[in-house]
Amino acid sequence: MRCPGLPLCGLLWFWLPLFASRPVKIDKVKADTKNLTRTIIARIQEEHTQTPCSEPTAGLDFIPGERPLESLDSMDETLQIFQRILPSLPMENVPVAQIFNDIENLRSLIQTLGSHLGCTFHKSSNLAALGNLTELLTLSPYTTAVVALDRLQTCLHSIVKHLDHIGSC
Amino acid sequence: MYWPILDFIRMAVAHCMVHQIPASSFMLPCMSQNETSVIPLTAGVAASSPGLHGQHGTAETNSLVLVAEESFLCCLWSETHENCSLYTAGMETKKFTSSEISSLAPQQTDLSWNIQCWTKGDLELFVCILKLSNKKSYLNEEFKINLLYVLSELSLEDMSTGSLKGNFMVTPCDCNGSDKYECHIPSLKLNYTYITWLNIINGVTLLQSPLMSVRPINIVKPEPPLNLRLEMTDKGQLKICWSNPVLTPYPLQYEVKFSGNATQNAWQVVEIVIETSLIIGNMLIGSSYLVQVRCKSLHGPGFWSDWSTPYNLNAEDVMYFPPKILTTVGSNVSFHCLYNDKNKMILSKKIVWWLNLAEEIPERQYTLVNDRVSRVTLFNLNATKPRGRFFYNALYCCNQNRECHHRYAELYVVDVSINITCETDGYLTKMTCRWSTNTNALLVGSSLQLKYYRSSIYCSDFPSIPPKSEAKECHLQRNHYYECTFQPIFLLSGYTMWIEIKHQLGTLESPPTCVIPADVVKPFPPSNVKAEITKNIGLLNVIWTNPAFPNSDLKFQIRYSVNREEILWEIFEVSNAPTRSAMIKVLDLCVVYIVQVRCSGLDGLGYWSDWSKPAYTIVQDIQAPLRGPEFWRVINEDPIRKQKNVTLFWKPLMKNYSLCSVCRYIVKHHTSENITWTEYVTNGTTYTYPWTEDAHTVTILAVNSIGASSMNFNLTLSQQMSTVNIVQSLSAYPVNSSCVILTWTLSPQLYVITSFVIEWKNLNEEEQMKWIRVAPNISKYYIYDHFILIEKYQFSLYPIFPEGVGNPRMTDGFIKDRSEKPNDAGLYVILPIVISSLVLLLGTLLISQQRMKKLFWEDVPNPKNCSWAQGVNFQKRMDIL
Repeated sequence: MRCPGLPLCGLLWFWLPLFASRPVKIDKVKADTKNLTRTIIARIQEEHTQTPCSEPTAGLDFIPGERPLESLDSMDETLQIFQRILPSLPMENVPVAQIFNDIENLRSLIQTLGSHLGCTFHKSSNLAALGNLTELLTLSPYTTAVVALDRLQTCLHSIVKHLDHIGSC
Repeated sequence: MYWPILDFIRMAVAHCMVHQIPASSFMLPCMSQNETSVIPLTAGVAASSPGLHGQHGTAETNSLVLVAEESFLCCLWSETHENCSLYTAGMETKKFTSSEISSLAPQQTDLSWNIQCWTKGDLELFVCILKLSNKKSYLNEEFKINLLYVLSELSLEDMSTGSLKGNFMVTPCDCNGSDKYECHIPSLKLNYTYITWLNIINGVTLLQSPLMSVRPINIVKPEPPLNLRLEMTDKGQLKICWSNPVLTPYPLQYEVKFSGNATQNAWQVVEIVIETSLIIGNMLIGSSYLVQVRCKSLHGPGFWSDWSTPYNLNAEDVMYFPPKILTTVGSNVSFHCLYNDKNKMILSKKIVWWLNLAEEIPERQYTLVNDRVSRVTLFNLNATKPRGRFFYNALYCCNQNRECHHRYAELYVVDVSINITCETDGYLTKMTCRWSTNTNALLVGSSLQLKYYRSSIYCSDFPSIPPKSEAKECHLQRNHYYECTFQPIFLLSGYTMWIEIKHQLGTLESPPTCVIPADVVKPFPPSNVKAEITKNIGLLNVIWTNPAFPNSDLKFQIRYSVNREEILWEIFEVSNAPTRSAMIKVLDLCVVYIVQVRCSGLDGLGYWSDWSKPAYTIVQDIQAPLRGPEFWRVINEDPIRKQKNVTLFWKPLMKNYSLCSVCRYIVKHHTSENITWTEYVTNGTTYTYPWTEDAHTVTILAVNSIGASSMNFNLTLSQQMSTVNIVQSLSAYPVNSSCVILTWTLSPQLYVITSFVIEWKNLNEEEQMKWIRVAPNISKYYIYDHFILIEKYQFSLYPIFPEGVGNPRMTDGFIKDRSEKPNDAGLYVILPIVISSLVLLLGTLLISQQRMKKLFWEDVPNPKNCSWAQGVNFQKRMDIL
């Protein structure tokens, strides 16, 4: 008995798991991104509970966090800047090295999400503006550290919020 | 004193008056002050003096330095003697004429040194050996030599006066033998330029060498190649192989030399190769050849290393390639064999293979590589079982006639399945990995190391060992586990890990495993655990605070038990995340419960946390008592006052009814004259009141902190009803000392019975009366108590009507048993009589037996008296036939 549809069915059956597994993986990436972002926030909050009531901005414009992050590219770019800032922060009570690694993982997750959506990522253009970071850390290390951590938290909250309805780059 | 010298160096460098130390030996001739003082100086020619650009890389350069007391002079010249310049401390310079240069020939000098400088193979030490080759007699034997040097990051061509910064260093040269001095510069910077010179002091004479420059990388003398061995190509050709020295900063070239006869030591360089092997074919097999290899930088200058240790190519009768193999369980390996039987090569088709001299390997596993080389392949290998001190399988290459040579190849198969387990701490900052090995399964001398590779996120589906990896330091714990710690960690990165087992026979790797730290989290246990039995609902309510990490959803387990000596845990699962509390139905509400909580990731990955600190419930009132106590009464008549006093007594309310305590009791009175009042009993479980009316009803309520019991027992005492007899018969039968059956029959009656009350009392002892209320629809009841069967008990059965307590029926128990005691006494009389009769009978039987015996033997003939019996021996057996 001839069954011309059988090879086609077999082919579809063979490919089915590939199509079926893809959304599951992206869902996992999304969930991991959210969990990791919340973990970083918890790390900051656990040791650094102080939130500045009025945040000084003069001279600290290069630290991102004042604008909401609405694209995967801007998230990645912002996290790059924080990766540059974090190692210099004089915060012994905050696990800076661990947060640095967490951000590295977070960027990888965001880039995976981006590649799924066909996004392109740019290297941060503000990295050059970090020139006066060393000077600021010398002059007012506490202010710089508090503001940097506070803005990192703001950015992370913005990432969590945006991930809920992510659909494009 | 040194600053003017440094200035001079700067000036000399600026005018390119610096020799480059060659990768070979060179001469340093010196001349006394008198001979040089005649050489006139002409100022202002420094600008026109020739540079050394053209001389860099010269194979051999002769140099001369002459030193005056207050000024020093240096002269540089090459073999061509064309560019010899003279400097003074005053920065004056002169160009020598040809005639002047000829007078500076080494053989005419007062002092001449043969020098060789190189960088050692460890790339850490610069060595210069100075050998005195010529010395005038007026110089004494004692020389004090110092090597001075300055570093520059730049090459000599790019060097300017400004690039020489800082002080120069001085290293004294040690006398090594009478005419040999050795100078060392430690901690080399291979790619820096070293400007050096020598100070030679002989008595009061100071001789200073010209400036010399060297980049240590250019004069490296590598260590000789190692581990020379014979290997076989896939085509069955022999090749001599070797390993590079440990530190090789650049590609190497190799020189291989052979000696045809080891005893004659006639060496011949065969070939220069750039690989670490040289195919020699099978031509040299069977002869006693020695092989040595040395190496040198492939590109650029450098020294040849010393020759390696000679390797004897002298072929054995049977050669295996490789002679030993170390491999893992499940792998496939191949051995090659060359069989030379009494100077006659066995053809490969006539070779058979045997394993451990016990098992012939099937022919299908053989491959004929060429006429002389046979290959055997073993598949899916099992771990080698040690046999005594032999930790290998012996593989024999034999002749077809089953003649095996005693030499064999060794096959070591090791089980490397090592399980690595990891655990991430509750802060999500540290991952600890543990692994252990079966030391019996490993070869002696093996060293183990955990290697890992981290991918940016997640693990691949099939982890494999990548070419680049890092080693992780692990520490052996008391439990024989190795423990390695990663901190800080990349929570979502995939750590592919394996154990590298190094042995002199080779390196093995355990199967790689990939771990994502976020998947192996052991969270901290929940904190602030509180437990209570809820009021009114009566459930065990547990609340807790979740740990700060992880931020993903968690599931929980609650274990609880009545807090007693022997704790029997019950587990309650909570997985409806997010949650921080649970209500559990428990049987006993009025006991202390001990409660602990633990958590784990909701996705099932990772570990359960430790149990939290225990929380304890407090026993408190949950509800108002479920019912009042059961009670009974005793009526005492006071003949003087002609008054009846009723004493009520009740059993303390059990906790399952009181829920959970009773603070007081309320006794409610209601008389036939419709008078009602209440009394409170706070202490004790008895209450006495006078009975004056015809009918008097009492109800007892139990009260706790929540309220009073709603379901209660009442009892009506009525003069009229106390005369009603409805119990026709009552019998008590003891079952054993702890149980008595009470049965009764009722006469037909018109009253409704609400219950019976059974009373019993030991009449011989002043024991308090005991009672129990039983259901109205039964006629038999098992009373469980401690009864003494030889005592007398009185049992009473009271019918209880709504209108009042009826007339009881009483019976005495166990009296009948006592009356049977005389029968027992009769038994004690009969028993001795029976025994006496038996003794008498036995005696009679014995006497009768003796009599019968006597009577019987009287009829047997006496041989002495009977003629036919004479001569018959009755003691001897006779055959009748």
